[in-house]
Amino acid sequence: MMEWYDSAFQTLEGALNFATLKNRTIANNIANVDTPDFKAKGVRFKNVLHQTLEAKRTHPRHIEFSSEDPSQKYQTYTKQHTTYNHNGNNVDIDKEMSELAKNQIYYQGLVDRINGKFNNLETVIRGGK
Amino acid sequence: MNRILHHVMPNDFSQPTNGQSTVSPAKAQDGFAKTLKAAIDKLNTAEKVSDRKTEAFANGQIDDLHDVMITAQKAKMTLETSVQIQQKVIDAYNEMMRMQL
Amino acid sequence: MSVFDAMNTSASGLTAQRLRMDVISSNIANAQTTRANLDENGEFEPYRRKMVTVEPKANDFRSFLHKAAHGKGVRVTQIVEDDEPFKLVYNPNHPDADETGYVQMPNVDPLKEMVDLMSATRSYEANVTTINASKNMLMKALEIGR
Repeated sequence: MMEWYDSAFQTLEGALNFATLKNRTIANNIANVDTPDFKAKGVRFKNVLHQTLEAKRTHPRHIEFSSEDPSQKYQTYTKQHTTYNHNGNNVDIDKEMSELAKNQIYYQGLVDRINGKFNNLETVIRGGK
Repeated sequence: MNRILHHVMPNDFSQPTNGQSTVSPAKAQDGFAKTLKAAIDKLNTAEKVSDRKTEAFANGQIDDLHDVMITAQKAKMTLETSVQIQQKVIDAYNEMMRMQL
Repeated sequence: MSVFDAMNTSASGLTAQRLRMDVISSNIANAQTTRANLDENGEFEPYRRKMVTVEPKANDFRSFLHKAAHGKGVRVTQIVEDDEPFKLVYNPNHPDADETGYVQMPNVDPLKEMVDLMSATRSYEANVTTINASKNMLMKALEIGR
C-alpha cells in the first residue's frame, strides 16, 4: 500500500506529525505558564549527534532513554537557555504565542500541499476526464 | 503514475512483443483475470487499512487526525485507480474478443 | 492520547487560571474583612489571603513511559492561605481595635492582587488563543481530500 509515495509525500506526512506534536507542546507550555519550576519544552529535528545518543539496547525490553519512537526524525527537548522568573518557571509567553502562530501557518501550508499532490494524482488517474 | 500502475498491476504488459511469442486466447484470458484479481486485492488492503484507522479514530485511540484523513484519501485514490484500470482492461479485452471473430 | 490532546491541555490551563481569578476576586472583596473566622479562643480573626498552588499534570511514571512527553496541562493542587502576618492599622475607634488601638486587618494588598489579576487574565487569554489554534488545525486537517 505504501509503495506509491515519492519522498515528497513522506516528507509532508512527517512534517504534519512534527507540527502536531509541536502544537501539543506549545499548548502544554502555555497551560503551565504560571507553574513553579516548570521548564518549557520544544520540538526539534534530530541531527546526527542526537540520533547516535539513543540507548544501545541489548534486549528489546530495555527501556529507551526517551519515551518517544526512536525512528522519528524529531524529538521533544527541554528549553534550557531561557531566563527563569522568581518561581523557577521559564516559559516565555510571547515566544510561545509567536511559535504557535508560525506553526499554524506551517501546518496549513503542509495540508494545502498534500491536497495539491492528491489532486494532481487524481487528474492523472482520471486521464483528464 | 508508473508507480501507481505497477502497484495495482504487478504483471508487466509493457514487454515488447517480437513476432514469435504468441499467446493463446486461453492464456490471455488467464492473464487478464489475474490482473483484475490483483487490482481488487490491492484495493481491499488499502480499504482495510483505512477502515482500521477510521475505527480507531472513532474509538478515540488515534493521535493525529491528519493521519486518518491521508489514509482515507490514499484508499480513495487506490480505488479510483483500480476502477479505471479495470475499465481499461475490460475494454481492451472486449476489443480483442471483437477482433478475433 | 487522542486527537484532542492539545485542546484538553489548553482547557486545563483555562480551568486553573479561572480558579486563580476566583481566588483573587475573593481576596479583593475581603480586603477589609476583620471578622472572617473564629480562632481557638473564640475571637474573631481577620480574613487571610488565599492563594492557588498548581503543578503540571501527567507527572506519573506510567504516562512518562507512554510517550506523553509533551505533558497534559496543569492542575490545581490546593488553595492555601498566605502565612504573612496580618497588617496592623491604628484605628482606636474601630469596634475590633485591641487595647492599644490597633486593628488587625487582612494581609491582602489590593495593588498586588490587581497585578495578579492582570497576569491571570493574560494567561487565560493565551490559553483561549491556543485552543482556537488547535481547533483550526483540526478543521484544516478535515479538508484533506476535499
